[in-house]
Amino acid sequence: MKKMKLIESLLVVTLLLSFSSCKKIFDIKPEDQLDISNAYQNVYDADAAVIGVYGKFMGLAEQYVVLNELRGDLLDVTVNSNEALRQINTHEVKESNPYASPKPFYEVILNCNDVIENFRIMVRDKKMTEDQFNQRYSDVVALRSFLYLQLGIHWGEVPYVTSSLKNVDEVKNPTNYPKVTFNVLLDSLIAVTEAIPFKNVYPSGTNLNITVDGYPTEKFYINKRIMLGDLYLWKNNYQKAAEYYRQVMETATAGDFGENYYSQYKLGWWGTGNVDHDVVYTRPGDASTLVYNEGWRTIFENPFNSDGVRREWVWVLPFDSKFRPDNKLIKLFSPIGGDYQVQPSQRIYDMWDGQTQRSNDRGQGIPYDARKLLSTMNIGGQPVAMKFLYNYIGWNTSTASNPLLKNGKWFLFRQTHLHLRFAEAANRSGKYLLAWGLWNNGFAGAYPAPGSDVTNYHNTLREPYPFNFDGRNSNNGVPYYRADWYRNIGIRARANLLNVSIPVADSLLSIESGLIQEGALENAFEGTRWADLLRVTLRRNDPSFIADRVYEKLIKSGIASGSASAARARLMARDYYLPFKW
Amino acid sequence: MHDIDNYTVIKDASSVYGTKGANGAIIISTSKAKKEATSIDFGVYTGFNQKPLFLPVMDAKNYRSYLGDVLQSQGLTTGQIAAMPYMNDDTASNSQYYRYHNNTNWQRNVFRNSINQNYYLKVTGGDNIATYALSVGFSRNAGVMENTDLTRYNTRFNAQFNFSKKFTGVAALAFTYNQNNLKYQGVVNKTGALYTALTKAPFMIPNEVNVKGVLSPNFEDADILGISNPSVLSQNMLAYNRYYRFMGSYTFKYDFNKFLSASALIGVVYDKMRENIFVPRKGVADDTLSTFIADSRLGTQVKRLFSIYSDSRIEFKRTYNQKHSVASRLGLRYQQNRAEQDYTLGYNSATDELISVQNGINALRQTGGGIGEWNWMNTYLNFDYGYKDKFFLSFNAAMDGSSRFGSQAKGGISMGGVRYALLPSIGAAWLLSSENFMALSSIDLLKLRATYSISGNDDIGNYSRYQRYGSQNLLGMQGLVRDGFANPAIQWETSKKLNAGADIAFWNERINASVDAYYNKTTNMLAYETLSNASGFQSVLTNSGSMKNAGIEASVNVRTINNKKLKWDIGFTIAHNNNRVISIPGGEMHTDSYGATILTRNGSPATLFYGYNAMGVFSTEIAAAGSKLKKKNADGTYSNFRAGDVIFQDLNNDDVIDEKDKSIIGNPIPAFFGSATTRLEYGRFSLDALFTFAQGNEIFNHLRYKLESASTVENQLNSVVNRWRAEGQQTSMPKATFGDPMGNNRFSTRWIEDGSYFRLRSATLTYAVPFKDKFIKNASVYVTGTNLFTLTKYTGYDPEFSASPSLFAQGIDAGLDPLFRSFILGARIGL
Repeated sequence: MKKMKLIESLLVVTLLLSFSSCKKIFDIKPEDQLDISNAYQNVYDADAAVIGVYGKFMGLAEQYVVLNELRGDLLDVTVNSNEALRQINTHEVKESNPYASPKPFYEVILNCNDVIENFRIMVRDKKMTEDQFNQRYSDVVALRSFLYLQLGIHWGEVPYVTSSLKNVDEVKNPTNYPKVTFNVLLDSLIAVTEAIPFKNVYPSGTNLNITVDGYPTEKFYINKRIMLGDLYLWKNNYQKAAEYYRQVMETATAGDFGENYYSQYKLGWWGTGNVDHDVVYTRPGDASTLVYNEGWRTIFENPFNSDGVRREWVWVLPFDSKFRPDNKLIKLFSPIGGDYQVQPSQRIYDMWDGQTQRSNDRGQGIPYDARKLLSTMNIGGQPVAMKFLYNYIGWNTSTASNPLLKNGKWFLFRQTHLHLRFAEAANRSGKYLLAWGLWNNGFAGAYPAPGSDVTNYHNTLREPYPFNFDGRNSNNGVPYYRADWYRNIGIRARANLLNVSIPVADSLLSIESGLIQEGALENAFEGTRWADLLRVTLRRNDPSFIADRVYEKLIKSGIASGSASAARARLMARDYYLPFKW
Repeated sequence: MHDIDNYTVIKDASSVYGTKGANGAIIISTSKAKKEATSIDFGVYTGFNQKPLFLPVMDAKNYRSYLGDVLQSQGLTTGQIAAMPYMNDDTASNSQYYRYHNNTNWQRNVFRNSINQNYYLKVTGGDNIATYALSVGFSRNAGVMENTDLTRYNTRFNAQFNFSKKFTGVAALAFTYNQNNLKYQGVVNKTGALYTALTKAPFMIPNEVNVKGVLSPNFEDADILGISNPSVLSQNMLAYNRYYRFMGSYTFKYDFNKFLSASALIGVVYDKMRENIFVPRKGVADDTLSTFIADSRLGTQVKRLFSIYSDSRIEFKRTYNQKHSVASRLGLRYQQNRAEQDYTLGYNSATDELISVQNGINALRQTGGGIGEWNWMNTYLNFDYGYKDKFFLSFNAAMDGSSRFGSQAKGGISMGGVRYALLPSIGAAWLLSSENFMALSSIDLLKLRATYSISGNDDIGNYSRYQRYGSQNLLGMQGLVRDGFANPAIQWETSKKLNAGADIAFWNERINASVDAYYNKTTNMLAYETLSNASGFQSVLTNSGSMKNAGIEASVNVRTINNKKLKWDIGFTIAHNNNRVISIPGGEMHTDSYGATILTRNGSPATLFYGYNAMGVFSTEIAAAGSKLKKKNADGTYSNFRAGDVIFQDLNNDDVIDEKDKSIIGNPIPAFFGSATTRLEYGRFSLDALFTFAQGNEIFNHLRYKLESASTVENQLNSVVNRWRAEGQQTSMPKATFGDPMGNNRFSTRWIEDGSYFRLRSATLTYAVPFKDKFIKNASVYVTGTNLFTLTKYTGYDPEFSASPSLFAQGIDAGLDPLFRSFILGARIGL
């Protein structure tokens, strides 16, 4: 009987134990993934969340470039292009077109929403400090605004999802997908982005602003002020746009008066001993002596930790063959190790050929824009857009040193974008000469001094902020001046081009069109063309602005004229957007 | 298998196994000592495996002509082709003449006949306190592919203890060790031994040869056409695994009285598998990976499974007034499982002598793995009632909890924040033959049965209920990103099953027959539900599908002759199953598998072949132009079908052959399947035979699809000799074109074949040796043949093939190593 009791009680205990601890027994969290209950616990988790978002963001590079350039007038299809790219090119895009799928953008947005929501919980629960929260939260909000701006630019009316869609019910709930027009979207984006508590870059020395695998990470992240400037520019709020752009232009206006002080984001020449980003010839006027290994072309090849990248680029991400994702831009652009699916359009060649370079001592101007030769190459009889390929194909060898090592960069924003957009806002604010100067040959060129006394020249200090620049440079004259902007040389002068003369009567529109054209010559293929064209089209309410340019590209490419006319007709009917596949 | 005493298959009323029981249950009992006296059973057999019949691939002459056509379609000129070393027949000018002018049937170099060995020893015995059964076995089964085999050692020890009259215990311990040598199977371009043997140019030979034609003992490298040397893959490539399994369990049972008892079982299973692979550089085509070229390839993988389980129950059994018998059980089962998998891949070791993974280049090494953990608990109640051995009633219920179920599951019941599946079943049987009114009938047994059960399936993935984050890098920095959506409502699939059957026996039980009909409806079936693009993800796994299976199974056994000396039994079973998807999200789903499109659609069987209807080959340009048929190219332009291209049916009459012209072209599920058995006993001889058959199923012959595509430099089947080559030629085989620009090889009726077969799966002749010696209790010798003959129209190696367990690979012959015929000679002695 004793034995029986023992067994009985053992059984009862087993049963009781099993039931009482059920909840614990059945709560097994994954070990090779992270459950939400283990995520977002401290600032390192917060950093991992930001890194994850940007890692995913890298996957958008190809689609971003295709949508923003191939829809525009500077990039064209090749014999290798598939139907999807051809549809994008001729503006007859079907819903099933993979480049027209908004899903990749929304996947990054979902991650942003998740991060934003959980960061708020973290700071509430004191899992990170207010400072840590402000920096990271602001970054992710700004990136999400960038993604939504892209969605608006390409799809027009889109669902504005801000929920982190925690479970299947939330995913299926249609109220989480409010559909908004582009204009309403811009208002929402301005409201949330303006409200972010931190608008600087990550302070150096913090976990996210370090050097990783040889790459300083500072420029990996979106510049929040540029994001705000862009949003206001789309909204035609020129004053606010100019203010934000100006703040970025003054990024280096602090600390010692070193090289960087005068050249980073100021489009200033570099001092002796440095090689700046000018178009130069070893023998001025001799076209055959164009310098390739230094100067303007190296904007795209410079290593990440160089002064060149530091001063020129505001936002750029590296593709390194040691890490995922693969560099799809090589597949897109390169005839070596890639599929060569896109090429420079005949139109951009013609635009470059329509420029004249500055006269030399012998009085001759070379009759084309040298940026043509620095932005493209002819490889095996094929015209190739090279900007994304300079880390892969040697400019002097036309071959890849190792076709399997697909290194490169994803270019998002640099100082010429910044100056052109500031000039666009300034022009619309009635500051024509200021805009013209930034575009052509800088403050000294636009506001020349009759003598060496530059006291009342080389500046716009009489203008209100943000249009008050001081570019005074007296050389060795008296009084002696070296103002903050004294090195600014203007975009066209840097490219060794003649100034554009503007008819006084029509300066607003002429300058604006000229700035957009300069954007093509300077920033071709870098992924901003369609947005520039569409912004001005909407502002002027003139569909011909975009339609004519696209038509000209198509008709020059040798495509059937019916196809080009059909594309023009669609754009003339204000059909600017891709079909949104739900 | 020699230590299995018996096994029982439960097809229905399996609710007692809860969410593990939707597909029925198999209960296996291993050997126990039946009596206390020591007895020894010893068996030995050896087998001969016969290599299968070779597939008829082209010989060197036909292949050369084919290769010429392909190269021409690739854009080479006649002059360029003629200058190729394998085309130049002039021994004087062609220094490589002997290398490229042979006629090799490569299948000979990878297939072989082989021998199996098998020994086992079983000892049972004991006394009135403890009895034991010990079995030891060793077997080595060789495959018909060169250097493939499976060696197996196993021991099992079962013991029963009588601690007291009422308190007993059972211990069962088993250890198995397997060692398996393998090759890559199926359509594997660069490393598949069999596949390269089928596709390698027959004008090559395995060994290097010099200018004068003198053969070297060294194997050739991958050839000029980029195809690996099959002999290297079968001789020098290594792929082996070692598998260990330990199972141990203890059961204690206490009988409180005649009617009531309690028992508890606790057991562990530990599995470990270590797998290694080495692909040499010499003789194997290089593989281009994303950032480097792989010549030699090395890998290792370890898989572990650790599982603890227990089963505790109280049993009650009693018969009242010799009329009412009652049996009841209440119990609790518990399982805790942890599985882990880790792998490392390496590349480019310095020489082919360095074969283990650490010899790969450091920078190229890749590692990965996964961990899965889940717990399951099942509380069960079972109640059986019998009235006068005539009427039987059975009630079962199970309540299942699992770490896999979401906390917001819609079904089941909730207790303490945990969702449990509640799965009952009820069964009834009536033994009519025991009723008085049947007493004088000539029918010996007549039983009617019916059950209705609800069971579940918990094979739903371990962690779908949680919101998870996976790793995402930004250069070398590791971040985290959302991995889809949490589904806290995820639950078991529910299977409701109604089964009705009858058993009958008459002619002094010389004829036994039974028939069963079932209707099985699965609801809460897991399905991928498509989501809005604005969610950022494609789909989410939800319990949103449903499916039904209805079927009938019948069997009959007849003892046709029943003399003392001569007995002859014949048996026959046949089954039919009708499967229909009731609903899936979206109503229709297409799945790509091995180049086929599998259709799943509401109201249809779950997997159907969905493709184009091929109706021959255009014999002339006029005929092709007259059809106006064209296809869309990748760049959006159209190309017209021309002479020598396949005529695809243009179902929607828009002259364009595209997705819209697909239709259902086959069903991999047979209409009927079953088996026939016969046993003839004459004195000390007995002859057993098992025939199996299936009728009405279609097979996608994926291997033939690769071997008749006529679009690469790979060797093809002999049927490709009849390819279209000249205007006006009438044939069903399209022309050879490199890269198949017109899509002649798209998934179509060209590749669908009737998979019906009838085969003699096994036949055994046994002779029981007479012994007068008392020392030897019994002895027998036997000879068995398996897969002796097959009647089928199927053109592949065999209409029965192993495929991946995926539902969407059903009926797809992926070219895995074929079944083969073998003969076994064996003997058994009992002491």
